[in-house]
Amino acid sequence: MSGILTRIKDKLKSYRVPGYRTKFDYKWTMVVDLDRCSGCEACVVACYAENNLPVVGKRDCDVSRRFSWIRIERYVEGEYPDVKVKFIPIMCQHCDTAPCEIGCPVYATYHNQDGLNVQVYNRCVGTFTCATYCTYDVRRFNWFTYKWDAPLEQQLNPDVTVREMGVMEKCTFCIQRIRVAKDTAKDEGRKVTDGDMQTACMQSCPTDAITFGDMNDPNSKVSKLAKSPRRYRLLEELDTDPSVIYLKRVMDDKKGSGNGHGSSHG
Amino acid sequence: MDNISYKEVNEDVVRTMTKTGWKYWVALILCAGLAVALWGVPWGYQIYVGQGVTGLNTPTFWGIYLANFVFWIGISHSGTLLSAILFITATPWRRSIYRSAEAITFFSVLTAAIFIFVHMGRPWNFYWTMPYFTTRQLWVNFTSPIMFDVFAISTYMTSSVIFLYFGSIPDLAAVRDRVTGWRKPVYTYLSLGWRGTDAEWHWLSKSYTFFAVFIIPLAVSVHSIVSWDFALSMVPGLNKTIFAPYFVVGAIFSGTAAIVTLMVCFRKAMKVEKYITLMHFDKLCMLLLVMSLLWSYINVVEVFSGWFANTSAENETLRYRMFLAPHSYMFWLMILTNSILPLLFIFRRLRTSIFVCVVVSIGINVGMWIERYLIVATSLPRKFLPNMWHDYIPSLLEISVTVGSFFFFAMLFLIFVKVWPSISIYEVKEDIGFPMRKGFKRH
Amino acid sequence: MKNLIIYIITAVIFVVTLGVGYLIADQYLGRAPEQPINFSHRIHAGDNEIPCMYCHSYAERARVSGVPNVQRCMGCHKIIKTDSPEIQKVAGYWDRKEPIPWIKVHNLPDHVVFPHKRHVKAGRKCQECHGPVETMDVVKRIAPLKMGWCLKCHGKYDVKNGRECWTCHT
Repeated sequence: MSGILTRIKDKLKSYRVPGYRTKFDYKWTMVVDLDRCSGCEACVVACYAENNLPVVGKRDCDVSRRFSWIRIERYVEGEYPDVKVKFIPIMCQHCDTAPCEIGCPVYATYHNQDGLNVQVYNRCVGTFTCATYCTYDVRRFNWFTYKWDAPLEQQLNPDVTVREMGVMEKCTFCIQRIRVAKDTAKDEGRKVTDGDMQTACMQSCPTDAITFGDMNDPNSKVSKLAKSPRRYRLLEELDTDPSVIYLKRVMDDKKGSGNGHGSSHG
Repeated sequence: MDNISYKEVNEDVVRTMTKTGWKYWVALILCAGLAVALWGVPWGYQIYVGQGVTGLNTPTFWGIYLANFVFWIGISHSGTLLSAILFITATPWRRSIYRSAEAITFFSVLTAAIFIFVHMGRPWNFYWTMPYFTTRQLWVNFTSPIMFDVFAISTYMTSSVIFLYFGSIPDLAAVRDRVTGWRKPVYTYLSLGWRGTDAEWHWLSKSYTFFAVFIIPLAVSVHSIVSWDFALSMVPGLNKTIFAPYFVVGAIFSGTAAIVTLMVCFRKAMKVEKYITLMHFDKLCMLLLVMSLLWSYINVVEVFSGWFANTSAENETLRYRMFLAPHSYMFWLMILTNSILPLLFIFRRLRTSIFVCVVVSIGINVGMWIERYLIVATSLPRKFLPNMWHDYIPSLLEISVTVGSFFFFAMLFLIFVKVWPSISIYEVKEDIGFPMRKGFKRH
Repeated sequence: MKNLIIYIITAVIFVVTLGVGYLIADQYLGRAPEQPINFSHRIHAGDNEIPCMYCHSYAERARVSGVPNVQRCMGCHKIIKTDSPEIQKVAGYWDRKEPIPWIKVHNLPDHVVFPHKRHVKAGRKCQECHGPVETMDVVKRIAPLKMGWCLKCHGKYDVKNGRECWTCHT
């Protein structure tokens, strides 16, 4: 009896090595510098092209079924002419203690060894739980089986699955590019470093507002940027431990005061 | 009930099963037809085209289907409560109504279970939520509240069927001895060769008591688990620790109200007024009153704790639910039907008035449905990031499916009263007293 | 007697369900479709000992192993056995500048990412998955290509992250 118990225990242990949530091979992190973001939405377009996102049309857009995995939220402060507009690009935050992961009954969304919050489309049964639990509203659902008109299906990315109806999806941090980068790095017998890969949004950003890299590597660009005093994470008080780090935009507190740093820090 | 003889009971119950008027057939065909037309066909269309035919949108991924699911699970608690709890506390007035209550339990759990599939994106893959050894070496996520649901509801459904069946065996035997034709072999098979020996009675009562005890914690746990579907999220308005007792109380409340409604219909339609008397309504309405007070208390606590937390997200959800049309109308209607109207039952005269009973109990069911709807449909559209706020308006198809589920439930109940002894023969006889020689008056 | 009939009916339903399930489950196993050219791996890889990667040249460096283009065929068959009717068919495709519409025998669903490169580099033989192709006249699928079958191997060779979904799925 005890022999069986030990065997089960060992088996369970073997599944947990290397550790879940504690020891990542990589720790992919994205840093978004809001000071640089101009809200041009080039990242949104790039994401559509890279990840085979369907364009849902006017009617579905009306009822809030847009497919953009990354979106630019606009917040307008004040009345004309004293108006301040703030942009914040929001994509899946790849939380380390993700609320969505506890919800999925079939492990269609789970945390992988790279610290990514992975969505496995072919395992998804569509209970909507992950999307309901998500505090950032970044999950998208395939309400229909979307079709691409005749020449457009030729531009689909062959590395990314085209999802069928009834499946939840979200930003993957361009996992297909990470896969290629890791593949190349493995052949050369090294780890992935900065410059090996870019996510689609990062690649297309004209102002270099988005940086992507490995947080485990102390020399990577993201590790350095993450030490910035302007650093914050979205809805940090919910303790979701997101992997996306925002660098706060430095703004003037009052018109003409010229010293807006006081409240902008931290 | 002293003036009824044993023979009369048997005959009355069997009569409800064998004598079928044209009205019954009309009602059955109507219910079945509407269930297919309003539920089956739209659902088929939804599976074929996709969930996009519903009114769901990006922040509001759970809508009217989840409200229905919770509502039907709630209705199911009636049977458990009336049957099991009152059985254990040896309450005599349960006897003539508990069989129907148990049937309601089973049918409403069934309806609720189907609603899980209705709300799924890919219902044809539902078996992936079952833990079994697959060649894919995949397991299910035991931390998921949806997974808890799968276990809780399947266990509850199985136990309630067994509970219903065990309690019916002697009655099935009684029916077997009275019917002829095609029914005879069916009930012979169903009654498992019951002969009514002492040993059989002994084991029946043993097992029945076992299931009565077993099913009470199960019922409480089922609805707690259903509430965790919501409470384990971080969404303002759903993330409440009070949810488990709130749901259990609400479930018993709506379940009892459903029983009152159905009993009135059943009593009128089947002409069994001598078994389901005003005394029963009196007792049931007292229960409703208590549950209403409990429910009101928890509702106040829920709103208060949200208000007291005083985070911007909570405040917005509360404002959206309580003071913004159209949800504010629904909210205050719910308060009226669930907290204020049941207070009428303080008066004995109103408790024994069938009319008041029907009005209030239907009101409670409407109110409880609204409660479930509001929980889902006013929390999710107001999550944390205001940019994604979007109202949820159920589509016609969703409403049609909702209405259809009531006809489906009615259809199941109509079939049940014809194929199953819907009043417990042997327990009613316990009320009657022993058959004595004529002229002997029982005191 | 009545009971016996019920038992028999139950047993028949049981067996039929299992049988139908079995047939559906393995409908692609042993699939050997007729190809547009009656190409024999036995002659090429078996008798003449041409290495697999001479024709399927991407297997070592890409996700797909690559079906050889017509040029690769014509490279040899401009000279060799030009009078055979099958070779003339190939030459026909070459003249019309059309690809040969080969039928894929080992087909994976779109949501599976199977890199040939990783497996070849890890030292797996082609035959471990594709069977003894060098003895087949018509290529036949001998592997079920189901997830459990993949995982069996991943467990056996203790692949790093070999049981993670994202390793093969996106």
